[in-house]
Amino acid sequence: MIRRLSFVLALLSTGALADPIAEMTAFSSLKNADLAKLTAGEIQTGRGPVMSFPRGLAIESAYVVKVPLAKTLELLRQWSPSRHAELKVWLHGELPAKPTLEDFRKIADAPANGPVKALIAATEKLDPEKPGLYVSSGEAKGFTKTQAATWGGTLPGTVSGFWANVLLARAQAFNAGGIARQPAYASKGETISPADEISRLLKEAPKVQAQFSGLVGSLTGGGAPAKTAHYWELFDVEGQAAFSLGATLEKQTATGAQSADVQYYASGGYFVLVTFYQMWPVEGGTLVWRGDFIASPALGELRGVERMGSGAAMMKQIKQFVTAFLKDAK
Amino acid sequence: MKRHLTFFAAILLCVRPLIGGEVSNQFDAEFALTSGSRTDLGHDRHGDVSGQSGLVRDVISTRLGQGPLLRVGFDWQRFSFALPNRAPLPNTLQSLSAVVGFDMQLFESWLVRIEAEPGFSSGSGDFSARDFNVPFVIGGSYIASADLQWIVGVSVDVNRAIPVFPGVGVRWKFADQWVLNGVLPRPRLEYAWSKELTLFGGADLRGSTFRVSRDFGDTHGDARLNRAVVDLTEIRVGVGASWKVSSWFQADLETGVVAYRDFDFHRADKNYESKGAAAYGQLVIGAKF
Repeated sequence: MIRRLSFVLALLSTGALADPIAEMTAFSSLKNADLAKLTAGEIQTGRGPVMSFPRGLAIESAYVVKVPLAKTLELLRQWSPSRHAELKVWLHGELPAKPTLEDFRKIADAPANGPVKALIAATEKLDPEKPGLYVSSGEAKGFTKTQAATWGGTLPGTVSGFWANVLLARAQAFNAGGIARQPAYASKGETISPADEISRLLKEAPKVQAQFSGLVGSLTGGGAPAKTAHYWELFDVEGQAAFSLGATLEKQTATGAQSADVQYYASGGYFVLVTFYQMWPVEGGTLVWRGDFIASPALGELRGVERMGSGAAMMKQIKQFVTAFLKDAK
Repeated sequence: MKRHLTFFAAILLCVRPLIGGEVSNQFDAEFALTSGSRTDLGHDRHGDVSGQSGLVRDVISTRLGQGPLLRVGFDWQRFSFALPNRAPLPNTLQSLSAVVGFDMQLFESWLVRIEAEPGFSSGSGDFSARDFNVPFVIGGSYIASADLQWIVGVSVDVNRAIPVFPGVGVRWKFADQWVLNGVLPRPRLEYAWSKELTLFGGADLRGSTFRVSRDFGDTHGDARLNRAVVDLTEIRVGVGASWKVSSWFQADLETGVVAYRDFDFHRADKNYESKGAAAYGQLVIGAKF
């Protein structure tokens, strides 16, 4: 009798796991996801878990990409938001397994706009004792010693050279030991360690952390992460340009695949941004759950309805990114 | 007065057990001085009316689970006027009220606020039970994007000449350093000079309702004004600077003209308007933590 009961329970359990929506609702905050609507092209978004981490915010979304799972993974790996002007990501460069300064040559293509000029001004004013940008004191001291880049473009050679060296050193540190190797920096009197920021974000979302434990372990374990892509970007943050470094990690699961896009460094705006993707093959394409976890000092200053509003604004922004991705995936 | 403070303390105690993890506090205080403006005093008389005003407001908000934000606090404001002899106007208007409301997110793009201010609005230095009123607002903000939000709302005050007052507004960051903050009661054009300093120019449309004392009419030569309701309306136009001193403290300094001021005893059919502009200066401080 007990054996028969176990068999029935096992069947029920297998049935639940085979249902991607059931699996999604088990670990996510999106409890009303509707596969029919998602397949019809709707992008559903919602707030992730409410965080006690003051500068943390989580947004979740779900959508269907109308290509098979393997193709979706490939598109995610290769996708560049810089093809869409409205997303204000001006430059995107891929990094090889062993990056060199030459891999940042595209910095010369930075647009001559207000935000980039604001970044140039902030870089030239860098005070090693109190850097206004997210660089360590040691990195800031390097500004006067760095050899100017000879690539030309909008950024003065000293500024291009400085950022290329900072990004290269941080990318190499990531290659060597993951996020744990990222140098800490000071922001408003606090020492910021990207590894601690990620750990504090994920602590607030235990179900997501458990769901992506394999990828999280690879990121924070201290070893060289098994990344499938490594890149840098130049983008807009509230009227000032910022550089970022990111990496993508992937994992196959019993019911589909997982991916994590980790922007482990940004020169302004936020400290870390982790985007998890859980993907399931469904009729007509791939069902994607996306969870964005951001740690930003600006969020730490928001209270009450301002914080609620920032969540709604971030939902809009993520929807804009997903819409652009789906357009490219057609 | 002590009884009224007990009333506010009781409201705060009722909601205390509801307070969850995410608690924040917003404190605002402002003080303004206005020079004399020529004002119609009835019977073909005119005189200069100058004044000062102050406001203190503190609101605690806490999230109820994954749902709405509960807002609880108090609001005190006071207008004091220097009046010509025998002017049929109150020299003090003040209100003390609780703030009780909710902020909630509807669907993915709407933020909604429902807020009542039960309290006392008096045309003298004291409050009485007859001064009790419960004005409330219902407003919604549609977040089109991080740079563009539309606002709609309605303010309800049964004592006001226009009891139901609708409004619309927009907040639009149309360039890197420019924001059109067209939201009542303070529509402004803002320019971010730096991360810490914002310059602004715009208007401040103020309207509050008070009830004068039961012998106000007798002592001012018109018995119809006993216990009358008076709407105070001020339209200020000015420029100023907002200094973000730290992540939690901000100070605003502004100056300009009070273009229009009106004391409207609408139920007694008496109305005393300014006939000229007056200068004003104002300091506002805000803290959030």
